[in-house]
Formats: sequence, structure tokens, C-alpha cells
Amino acid sequence: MIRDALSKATIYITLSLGGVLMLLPFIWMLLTSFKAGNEVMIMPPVWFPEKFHFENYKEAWEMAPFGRYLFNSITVTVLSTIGELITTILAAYAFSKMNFWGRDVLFAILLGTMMVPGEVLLIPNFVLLSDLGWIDQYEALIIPWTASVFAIFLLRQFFLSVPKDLSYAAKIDGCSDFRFLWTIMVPLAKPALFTIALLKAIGSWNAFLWPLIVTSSKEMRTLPVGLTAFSTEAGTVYELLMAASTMIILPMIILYIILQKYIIQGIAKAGIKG
Amino acid sequence: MKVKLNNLSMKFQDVVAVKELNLSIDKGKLVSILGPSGCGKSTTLYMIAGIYKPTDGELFFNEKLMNGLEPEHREIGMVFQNYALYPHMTVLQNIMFPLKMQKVPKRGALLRAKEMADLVQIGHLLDRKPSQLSGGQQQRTAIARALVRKPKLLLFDEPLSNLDARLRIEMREEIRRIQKELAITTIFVTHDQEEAMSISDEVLLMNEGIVQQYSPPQEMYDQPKNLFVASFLGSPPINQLKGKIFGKRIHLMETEQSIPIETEIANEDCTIAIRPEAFYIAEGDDFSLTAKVEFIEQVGRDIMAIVTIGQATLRAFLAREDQIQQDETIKLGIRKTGFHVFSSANEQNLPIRPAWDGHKN
Amino acid sequence: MGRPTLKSTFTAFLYLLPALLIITVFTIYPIIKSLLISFYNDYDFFQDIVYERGIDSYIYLWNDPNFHLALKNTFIFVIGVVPCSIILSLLIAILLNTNIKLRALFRTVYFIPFVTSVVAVSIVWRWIFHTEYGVLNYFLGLFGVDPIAWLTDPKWAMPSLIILSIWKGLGYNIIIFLAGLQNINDQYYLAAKIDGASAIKRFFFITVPLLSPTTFFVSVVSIIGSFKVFDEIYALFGGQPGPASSALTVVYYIFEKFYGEWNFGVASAAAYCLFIIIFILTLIQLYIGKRKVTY
Repeated sequence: MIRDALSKATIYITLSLGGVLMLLPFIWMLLTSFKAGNEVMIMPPVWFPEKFHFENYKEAWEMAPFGRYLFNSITVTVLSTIGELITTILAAYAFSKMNFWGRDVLFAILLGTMMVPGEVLLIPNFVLLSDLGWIDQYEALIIPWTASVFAIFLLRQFFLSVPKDLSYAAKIDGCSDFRFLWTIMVPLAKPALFTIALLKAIGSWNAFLWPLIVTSSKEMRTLPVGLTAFSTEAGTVYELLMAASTMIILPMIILYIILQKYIIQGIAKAGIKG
Repeated sequence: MKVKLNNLSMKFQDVVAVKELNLSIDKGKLVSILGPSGCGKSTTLYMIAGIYKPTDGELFFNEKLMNGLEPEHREIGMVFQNYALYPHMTVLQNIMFPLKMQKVPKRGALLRAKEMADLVQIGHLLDRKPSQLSGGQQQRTAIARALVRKPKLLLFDEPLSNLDARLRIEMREEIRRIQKELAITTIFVTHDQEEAMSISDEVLLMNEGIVQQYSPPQEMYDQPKNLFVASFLGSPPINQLKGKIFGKRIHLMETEQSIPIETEIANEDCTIAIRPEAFYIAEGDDFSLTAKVEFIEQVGRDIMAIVTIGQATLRAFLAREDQIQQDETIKLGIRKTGFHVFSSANEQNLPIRPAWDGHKN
Repeated sequence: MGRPTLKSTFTAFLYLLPALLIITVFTIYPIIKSLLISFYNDYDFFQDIVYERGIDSYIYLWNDPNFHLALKNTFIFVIGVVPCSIILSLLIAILLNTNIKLRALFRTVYFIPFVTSVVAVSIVWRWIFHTEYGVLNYFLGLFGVDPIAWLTDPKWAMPSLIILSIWKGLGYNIIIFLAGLQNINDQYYLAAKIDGASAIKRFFFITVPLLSPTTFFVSVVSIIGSFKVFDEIYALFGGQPGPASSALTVVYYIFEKFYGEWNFGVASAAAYCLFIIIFILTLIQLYIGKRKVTY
């Protein structure tokens, strides 16, 4: 009994210690973001600010066009997520419930492209987007990201698990293929679609290299690109840098905490299927 | 509605699932399609429904050609093995779905759906989701959904196979009741012979894509056209003995015994098939077979004797009053209705009449 | 579903059209085009004229000490991150898989870094790593360690990057290990317990072999992910590949050649080298995986 209690205590202590280490950077970020200028650069560090300086956020907000960055980030995230959902639903349906010439070959080719690192695509895409005149436009930030092989694969797996009888029943009930997809399959696939949408939204919100390359003007930057630019400008004013970082990090943490069920399930599933 | 199949065939790649099927079903009849798994019975049903397109042959509803017509235009209702209820819709929404697809005005649709729900006795469950229903209730919902558009033809694909034994009997009587009440032409696919025998006006027995026999259930049991039909129906299965016909007798293989018959056939190998319940203990009959009792099982009010004649093992239902003992040698008479002879060459029924009196008919 | 017909193929392609259009234009075409660009010796991007084709870009890479450095750094990074991350996450997953309360809370906490912006957390870590006023040096100071110039000393830049990356990716691996552990039937453990196996023996004779497919998957994903490290470096070192290029990785090299020097040929060639390295590693892992994954 004593040994059991002891080993349990060890487990709790280890996990808690690890948990604190995971959270500490965020806590430190939050605390710093509220400090007065003279509380930041001192040794030994002061943990809690004397007074919570919410005006740091306002100041950071005004020093760089974070309002514009936020608008861009939201626009890009929302539109590319919606776009990806639409293309994914249609394609996954064709791959799972239709029989057509070249289906298996086409699907294999698509899966094959998942092996290619995105960096390979960077240069030709940049050239292509320049030719299209999309550089520094929303098109460049959104359109290339409105389809994903991984998402199609994930949703196809889900669609395959829906019994065939259901589509036969709908056919007899007088429901067309297209209507069946939207009134039966899509509502059924809600959990899978949630997962796909959330993973996409997180990825899109946090994306850096691509928006860095295809934007040139301040007005088109997304939050992460704006933040790196701001960090070169604000340099060592860490309370403002931390306030800006909080603005990028917090929305995703909140989204994650509310909807973590879908995110974790999705990742776990992808891992088990391997 | 009258249904007529004319040389209907279905090929998947190189496999012939259904071969030149001919069938005609009269209005208001309930027909079962029976057979072992993979015999083509579900494929036939799916062709009638229009889910599969036949590779050859014609399908008529009331003399109207149906080939190429989409399922929703065939005026049919169908109940699937797994019910195929839409999991995210309530019972009421499920039943109303076909009407919604037809753009029936909402109020009329609601009335009609409720009427159907009452017919199948689930009127109190309308707001439940399918996952909150028992198997029998799901089945009833599926039937209501199939009926709601007033189909002229109702199709069932192994509807009872997912239910437990008690519910199965209840639902089967229920289906019969609803079918009679609406006088709707119905086709019922099953692999369960008892189900087919108890529910149907006519039974279509299939094997390997080919029709074996199409007749009322009792006739199929009493007058099997071939050995497959004889052996597929009946539980325990019919007894089989190898024999050879010559000189107005069938001589049983590897024994000295023979059975007297009247026939024109001479010198042909045959299989004798005898129902377990066709045996009785013969006392002073003009003909009987001699058998050795190997084992006795009590089966309710009867006993089942496992006996040997030569190398063959047979089962016989006997009365308890017969008081037979293990290892005893007994004389078995045969009732003529349960006695059939099939050609060994093609397994077809041979034209033979029993030539003994048999005191118990 | 029926057999494929002209009509069904046509319908299916209508459904596939949006996805295929995007994937073809922005993934499949660039894969081919990138290979072609890597063989452009002389290319005018603004006028889209190729003056000369050849293998100059690859020769350049072969001779460029910076590219060698990038390769070396990338390998050091992968070796620094992957084993450490796998061992740590497996350990935490096993602890989480015991019968404890608050499991969901712990899981949530460990996963948080994964959903946050790499750029933003890198800037936070920049503050933590600060030589004079960073909390990390403060804590180390409590144990008598002299302040370390984490981000400005070439010796310490790579370790800083590795620490940040392990912290960031731990949660993802934990989730997958947890799922794998939960897939192992409890009856094996009960049987082993009855057979008298101790907890440690149970770990090595049941958990490790039965978890091998999961471990395999995690290592493939981690290695490929680590080979593509970029965002962290850019944000951590303020748009520089570390002091004295001490954190110059392959992707950073590609980025510099492409976006800094506009040398598309060399950048594309380097990208293809990265692709080939990842491809070979995946094949090796698949090969080992087939032999070593115990069931």
C-alpha cells in the first residue's frame, strides 16, 4: 500500500513538474506583457508586476498595424478553411462512394505528393503567383491552401465507414447523389469535418514562411509575419513584444481548449492508422 | 402491382451472380427469395429496386419496362438488413425524408408520416434518434419509411437477420399483418427457410444464381424438384441414401435391402431422400427397412433416433410410445409423402411411384 | 456502386474538379517545375527567360561550404531533437496512461505548445534565453551556473534551438503514444502479471514490442518534421540563421538562396536535395520498420 502511494506520488510530481515546464513560457509571457518598462530588465527578475499595465497592449497595437494583421489573419484562416472543407467534401465523396476510371491511380498519385516537402513547391509557386499577379494579394495567401490531400484522405476514411445501404436507401427515397452528400453524409461526418477544419485553422493561423514570401507590403502581412517585423522594430522592448505574442497565441489556445476533443481525436486517429 | 422478370441476368466482372431469371409475381402476393449466402438473392432484389443495373434481360412492373428507370421512379419501398436509418435524423424526420425529397407540402407529409408510424406502432417514439431505439423499433421505423410514399411494391433485404430469436418471430408476423392490411405486393429476401416458409405465398429458391424452384412453400417441401431443394428445406435436413434402380426396385448401396417401386427407369444410379418425420416403426407392413439404432435423443414430445442402414447414418423422428432401445435392430416404414428419388447424374426428381401399401398412408 | 462508366467518370471528375485543380496547379505542377528550375544555370526571373540549362546548381551545392554547414547543422538538429523527444514523450505518455486523476488536464497542458504559433513562442523563448535578464539564466544562476549567452554564442545557439523544438513538439508525440498505449489490450498485462513479470519486465516485454508501430510512426513524422525546421530559427535569432551561421539549416539555406539572393536554380536544387534525403530516410525507415516492428 505504501509503495503504491509512493509511486503514485512520484507520478503526480513528475507530471506536474513537466506540466509547469510546459506552461512556464506562457505564464512568463503573460506576466511580462503586463509589466512596466522598469520591471522587465532587472535581475533577479520580478515575477508579478506591481500594477497590471493593460496599456502595453494598446501601445503595441498602435506601434504596428496589428489591427490590419489580425484582420488579414482572420480573413485568410476563415476563407482557406471554408475552401478546404468544400473541396475536401466533394473529392472525398468521389473517392469513397463513386466508381470511375483511374480512381485508384489518381488517389495513389495524390498520396504520393504528401511525401514531397513543401519547400520544394516554394519557388515554382512564387514564380507562378508572380505571373498571375497575385503576389501581395489575398489570392496568394488563400487559394493555394484551399485543398489538402491529407484532409481528403482523412475524410475519405470516414466516408468509407458509412454503410452502402444508406446511399441505396436514399436513392430509393428519391435523393440525388449531390443532395445525399450534403443532407446525409456531411451531417454524419461532422466530427471528422470539425477535426479537419480545426487542424486547418491552426495551421493557417500559425503559417509563417509562405505569407512571409508572398507578401511585401505591410497591409498584407498576417500576424506571425507582422510580429517578426515588429520584433525587429521594437527590438528589446520585451513587454510590448510579449503583449503582441499573446495576441497571436491566445486565440488558438482558447480555440484548442474549447474544441480539444476534436483536435486530439483527429491526431490520435492519424497516428494509429499510420 | 404485377412484377415480371424476363431472363434477368447480372454479371460482376466475370462472376455470374444471377443467370437468366424468369419470374412473375401477382398483385398483392408476398414472395420470398430464399437461398444460401451468395446465391444471388440480394442481387436479384437490388435489380428489382434499380440499385443494380441488370447486364441482360428485362424487368416489368405491370407490363411496363423498368430497365434504365431510376429507383426513385419505380414506386417502390425498401427495408434494408441494417435498416439504413439516417442516424442524425429523428424517427419522424426519417419517415418524412422520402416525402421531403418529393417536395410534398409539410403538413400533408407530417400527417402521412404519423399515419405510417401508427400503422407500425411507433407513434410514441417520433422524437427519438435511431440509436435510442431497440432493433425491433428500428425495423418498424424502416418499414414506415419504406411505406410512406405509398409504394406499389415493397422490398425486404434480410430484414430480420439482426434481431434476436423472439423478436424475429414477432416482426415476421408484423410484416405479414402490414402486408395483408395494405394488400401490397412484397418481395422478401432471406436465408432462413423457416422464415420463408411461414410468411410467404410463394417461395423462390435460388442457388448459384439459378432458380431451383418457384412454388408455394408447402408444395416446395412436399414436391422438391431436385436434390438441392429437398436438402435445403427441412430441419433436421432430409436423409440421403445412395441406391441403384433395376427390376422395379431400388437397391440400397452396400446393403442387401431394397425398396419396391413402380417405374419405367432401369439401371440408373440414384439418391433416395427421406424426411426424418416420414419414418415410423413398421408392424407387419408389406415393406420396411431394417436399421440399427445407434443413439436416441429426446426432442420434446418426440424422440429422434439416429440409425444406420449399411454405411449410411439416418435420422428418424419416432413416437415415444415406440419404446425403442439403443443398439436394437428395428423395422422402419416410410410414409410416401416424405419419400423422393433423384437422379445421381443431374440431381433431378425421378418419376417414380412407391409400390408398397404402408398402413399409415 | 457499379462498374465505372463514361458517365460515372464524368460525374466523379466534376466532384473532384475543385480539389484537383488546386492540387495540380499548386502542388503537382510545382514539383515538376522545381526539378526543371534546379537545372537552370542562368535564369532571368523577371522576364522568365532561361539562358542556359545544366547542372551548375548541383555543382555549386557540392562545393558550397555553407550548404555543407547547413546539412551538418540539420543532422545535428535532428539527432538532438528526435531521440530526446521520443523518450520524453513516451515516458510522459506512460505516466499519463496509469490510473491517475487529472489525466485530461495534463494532456491538455502538454499539448498547448503544439497549437501555438512557432513564431510567437520563439519570440517568447528569445526573452527566456536572454543572456542578462532571461529567466533561464536566472534559474541556472541559483545553482551557481554562470550566465550563458544562449542566442549569441555560436556554441549555444543550436542547443537553444533544440530545447525550444523539443518543448514545442512534445505534446503531439504524447498524444500519439497515448493512443497507441490505449490500443494495447489490458489482458496482456494481466496475463503477464499472473505469470510473475515485474513492472519493468512488463514494460520491456509487452509495452515496447506492442507499441513498436506507434514508435515507428512517431519517429518518421518527427524526423521529417525536424528536417524542415525554419520558423523557429527565423524568429529566435531575429531573421538570422544564428550567430556565425551556427543555426543555418537546409531550409534556411533554401530560403536565403531564394529570397535573399534570388538564386532560384541553387535554391531549387537544394530543395530537391532535401526531398531526396527525406525520401531516402523514409524508405530506410519503412525497410527497418518492416523487419523490426515486432508485429
